[in-house]
Amino acid sequence: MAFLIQGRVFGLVCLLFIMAAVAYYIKRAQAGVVPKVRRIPGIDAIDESIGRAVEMGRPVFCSHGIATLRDATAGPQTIAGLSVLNYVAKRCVAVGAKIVVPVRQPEVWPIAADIVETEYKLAGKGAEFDPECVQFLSSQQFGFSSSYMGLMMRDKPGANIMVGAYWAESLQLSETGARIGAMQITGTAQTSQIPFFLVTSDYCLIGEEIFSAGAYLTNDAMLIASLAGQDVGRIFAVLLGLLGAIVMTVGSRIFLDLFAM
Amino acid sequence: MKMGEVLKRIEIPIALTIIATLLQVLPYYFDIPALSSVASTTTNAVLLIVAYATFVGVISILLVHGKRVQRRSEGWHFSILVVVFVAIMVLTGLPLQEFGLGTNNSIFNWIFTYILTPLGGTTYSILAFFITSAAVRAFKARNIEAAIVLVSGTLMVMGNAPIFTNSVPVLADISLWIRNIPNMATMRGVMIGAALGAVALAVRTLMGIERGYLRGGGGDE
Amino acid sequence: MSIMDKINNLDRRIIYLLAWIFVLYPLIFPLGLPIPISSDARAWHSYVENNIHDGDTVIFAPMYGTSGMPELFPMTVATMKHILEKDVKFVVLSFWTEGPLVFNALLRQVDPADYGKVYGVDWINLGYIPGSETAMGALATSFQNSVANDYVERRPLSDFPIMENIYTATDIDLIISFETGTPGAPEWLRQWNTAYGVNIIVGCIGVSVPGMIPYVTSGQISALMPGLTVSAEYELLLQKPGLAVAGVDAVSTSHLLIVLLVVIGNIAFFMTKEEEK
Repeated sequence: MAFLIQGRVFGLVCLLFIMAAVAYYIKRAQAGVVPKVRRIPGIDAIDESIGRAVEMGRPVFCSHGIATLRDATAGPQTIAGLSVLNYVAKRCVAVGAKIVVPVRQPEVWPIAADIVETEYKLAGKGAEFDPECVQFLSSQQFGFSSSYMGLMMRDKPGANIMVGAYWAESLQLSETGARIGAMQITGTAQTSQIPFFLVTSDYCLIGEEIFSAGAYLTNDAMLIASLAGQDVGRIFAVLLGLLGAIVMTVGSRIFLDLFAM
Repeated sequence: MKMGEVLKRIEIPIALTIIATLLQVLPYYFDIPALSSVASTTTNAVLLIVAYATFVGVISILLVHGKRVQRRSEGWHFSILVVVFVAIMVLTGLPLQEFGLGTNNSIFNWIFTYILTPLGGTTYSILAFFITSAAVRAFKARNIEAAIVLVSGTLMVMGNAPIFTNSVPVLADISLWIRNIPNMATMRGVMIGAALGAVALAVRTLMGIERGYLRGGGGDE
Repeated sequence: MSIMDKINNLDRRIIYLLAWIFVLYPLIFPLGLPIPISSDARAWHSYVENNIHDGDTVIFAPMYGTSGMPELFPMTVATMKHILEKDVKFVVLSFWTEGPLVFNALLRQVDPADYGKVYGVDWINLGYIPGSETAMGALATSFQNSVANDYVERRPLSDFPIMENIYTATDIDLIISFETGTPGAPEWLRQWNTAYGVNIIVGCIGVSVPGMIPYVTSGQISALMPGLTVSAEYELLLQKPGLAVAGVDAVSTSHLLIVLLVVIGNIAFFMTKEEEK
């Protein structure tokens, strides 16, 4: 197959394998066999945090990260964050909580605004939507961070939900949230920031848990089934790693040749 | 059905997402010149859209802070500063070298060097305080796991400071071992897991079943 | 409330004040603490010294903004001084908007002309290239299609002799990238190292180091400069002490404060537990 690019064939095979696994479990879900998902306490706590904010008469802050939608590794995290925002906006509108969405990327701002506005409209409260609740703060990382910290210090949210891609500002934001007594639910797949979130927030979604959030929150059978397909990919990766370690130890290059196929 | 109603249908953004995803994924694996050309054109179009989106952010800032000044809301004086500086930086940074504007403009450079740079460094430096207070709170041996965090964290901190490594050289070796062995293994695991999660999300997006980022979660209005 | 209780519930503001004192004091009154040289510094120095050969073409990429300057600028300056002593051609570029401005700040400290380097012949500045990882991939396939003009003189790349032999990633021998986040090393690895086999060495902030180590141990990143302390060691190896050496005393004292507070905090924690029993 001359049109297959060398060095990427094995990657294509792996991708097709994962897609096939996802499709298989979705088909089973459509037939009524839905896999069970383990509890993720952080996601379960979102409703609790919104309720707490309503009782305290304070707003809910919900941020989807500071990355664009185009980054290879951070883009999916932004999509995951927007999925969480969708749910949080729906719940806030339902219980009458004020939602504030700080935004860093101008290209994501219209999407976030649309998500929140649509939830108001779907609940028949379109007139109550305030466009200023979805605020573009700054495209500068620390301009965004200092603006967000200032917002938290002034508005004192009862809940601060941050799921998405974060970098150095993660500790600043979560520490500020901890200082003002907000209930914090955080989540990121940025390996360097996970420790900071773990230390300063009440609940933390680690790594790929944020990609499951959308499926978990909607309780959609097809989405939950896709998580099982994802797990098949993980098992495959572990087996590859183990076999690869054994094969390389005995001096065979078979896996290296396979990856270079 | 009216055109407006047709354009509001959720199938359109889903279809666009699937097409855009395929246009990025397929050229990575298949050497088809026509497809690569279309993908490249699409990528350039996306970059243009993103560039125009920059103006959306500026307009948003001007609207929000302009309204605050108009209404004399709390902190409106600071909003004036925001608007003034946005205007100065946008105008002086315009790529019009023939008028002396652009990134070599003296006002632009002065603000960048003497205001933005120190402010950025200062805001980043706040992390030093936050890390210190977070470490004091987190590094307590409440249980076995916390004790492991305490010991390894403290050894890493000591191994990165000349004041310790000069007196006790083995600290540098220990921190290097922690970094290169258990940390490396954990990081690999988290990175692979996160990558698989991202692949699964992309597969769901490609199949049109991940709709959380769409208005109303992809439901009908 | 006993002393131990007070220590256990120490006000954050006291911690911030102590941190401020411990960091500021050595900056104003340098302690001159000895700096042992680590294996990371030796590896970086050795790589730049021995693996960059005369005639090589190197990409020099300051991939950070103003916020990263305190930690990364010293290593950027030191490495630039090191490669200027060699007979290599280098292409300066960045995929961060503030990268060119950081390089302008570097030029105020180090002038390639002082080392006999001629702009356009020995080095060129392509400035900021928008598009993040997509742009990195596009640049790898064609410099001329990705960048219309250089950053300094705004002239077409074809006007410059250095670009006569630089068309794609295969014409580059090494990438030297200094970074604080994304786009950064993983993107370079995906678009340049995995696809074209271009070697890469990375200088990064301390927080990013744990995430870089898998790439270092697998050999994908050939050398790593992890933070300000190792920058200071590198400056000493070059016998050109600079910004990093000036700041590393503050690193030592701030780390000392953390260790002291953690130890005292744990003593207070256990004693309070004992009292409660």
